[in-house]
Amino acid sequence: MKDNNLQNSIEEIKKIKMTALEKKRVFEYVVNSKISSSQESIRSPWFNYSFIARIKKTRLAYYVVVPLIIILASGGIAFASEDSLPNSILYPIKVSIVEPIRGALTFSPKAKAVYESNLATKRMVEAETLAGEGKLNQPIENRLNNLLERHTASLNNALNKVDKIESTTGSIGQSEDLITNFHANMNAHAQVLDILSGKKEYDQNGQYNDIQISKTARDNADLITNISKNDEIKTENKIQNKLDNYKRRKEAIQSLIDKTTTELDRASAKPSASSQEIIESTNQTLNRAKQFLYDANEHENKGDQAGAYSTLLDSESSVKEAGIFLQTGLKFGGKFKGKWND
Amino acid sequence: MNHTFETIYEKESDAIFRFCLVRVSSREQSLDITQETFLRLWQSLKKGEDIQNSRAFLFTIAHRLVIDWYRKKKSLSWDKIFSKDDKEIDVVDEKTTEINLSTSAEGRYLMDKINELSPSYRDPVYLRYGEDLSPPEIGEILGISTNAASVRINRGLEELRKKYLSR
Repeated sequence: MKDNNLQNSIEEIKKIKMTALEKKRVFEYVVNSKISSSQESIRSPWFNYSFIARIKKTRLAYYVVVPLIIILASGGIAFASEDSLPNSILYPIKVSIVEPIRGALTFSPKAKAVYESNLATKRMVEAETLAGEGKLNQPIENRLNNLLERHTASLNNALNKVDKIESTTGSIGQSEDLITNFHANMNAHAQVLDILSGKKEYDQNGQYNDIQISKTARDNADLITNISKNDEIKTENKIQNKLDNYKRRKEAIQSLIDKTTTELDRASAKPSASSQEIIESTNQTLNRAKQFLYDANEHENKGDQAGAYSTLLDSESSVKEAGIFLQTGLKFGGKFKGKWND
Repeated sequence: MNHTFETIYEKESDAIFRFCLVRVSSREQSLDITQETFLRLWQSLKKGEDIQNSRAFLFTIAHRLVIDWYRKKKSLSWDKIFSKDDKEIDVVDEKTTEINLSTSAEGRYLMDKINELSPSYRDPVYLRYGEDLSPPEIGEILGISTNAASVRINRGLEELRKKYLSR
């Protein structure tokens, strides 16, 4: 500092001090203050019994408690995402993290096939829910469509493995149950979705064009079924084994037809404007199942065992589809926008 | 612990008092803030806290207490302005010079000029030239980087020179 006056002024300021009395007064006040002791927190008598106290006593517990908290919090998020829809912020967690993890934890091919089939059905139900609320837009449709394709591909892989196991062990029926269930679910939910979305378009030839997801669901159902049938043609031994199962399956389908007919009659007893088209459509599908069953018997009588079994599976798929459509349709009944055949 | 506190008190009490006085320009207020500052130090030592730099600790506490004091004073002033009280309004701001100093006119004049500096320059300049604190210590007290402290010291000094020499 070059300016002497400024320097002198600074030196003057540095001479400012407390008086001896002031200094003593402040010192005594501080060292005799009772504020410091009263500010100490009083420990609760229950502290030694508290969980937190035990954790604090053991540092190693942090390595257990903290990860546990993280796991529980993650579980909470996963649980919260369980019922999320495609328009929810938790939905990506559900489809990208929770479901793949669960899928990885299913070890048998059959369990994987069931899991992927159920996921495909879940996507359809999500689409139905949004369509019922008028929130099924194009981006969501695209997303669900892609997911549906993914689940179908995974299902097909799993079914191939189930098929191989059946060929090895000689047991049959599991893959067919899976296929008919998938076929029935896809077609039934596609039908419900078409009605809920109200998007009904007819081309120049008078053929009905369903919405994208519904079309994908139906196409995938046919794809899985056709792949299975093509495989059957190639394997003679499998057909022989299935003939042994033919009678059992036929009886089961008849029982299912009877049960669905009873449920349909019950729904028909109290018809409403919205349930009427559900009842009519279910009736059509049920009649289709009965026709397939009749055709299967015709094939059997002619000695065409392979044709009989294949047609029997079509009957099974149709009756399941009728039951699922009836159940789902009645659930969404009040949200149907218009008649099926307008 | 008592001996430690006493040693620190003997060494730093005047500097803290002086720092407060330059800022609040009231002896009584300066004594209160000084007392509160050392009370905080006493409590920290009693809790067994490890204080590496007692000087920086004290100036940091004093700096914050001065800021709190100004905030309380300003809000109190607005209440008085809008009240229907007929008493004379005492508007307190940072430039109030109710000074009761046993010092020379030169010293008082310099203190006035320091208080006229921009807020970001005032404390760094005073702490550097009034208390001989280093830029790292000043940075620690004011919560800024050492470089920022150096820049503010230099710029503040330039501004102080202009004001001081302008008479």
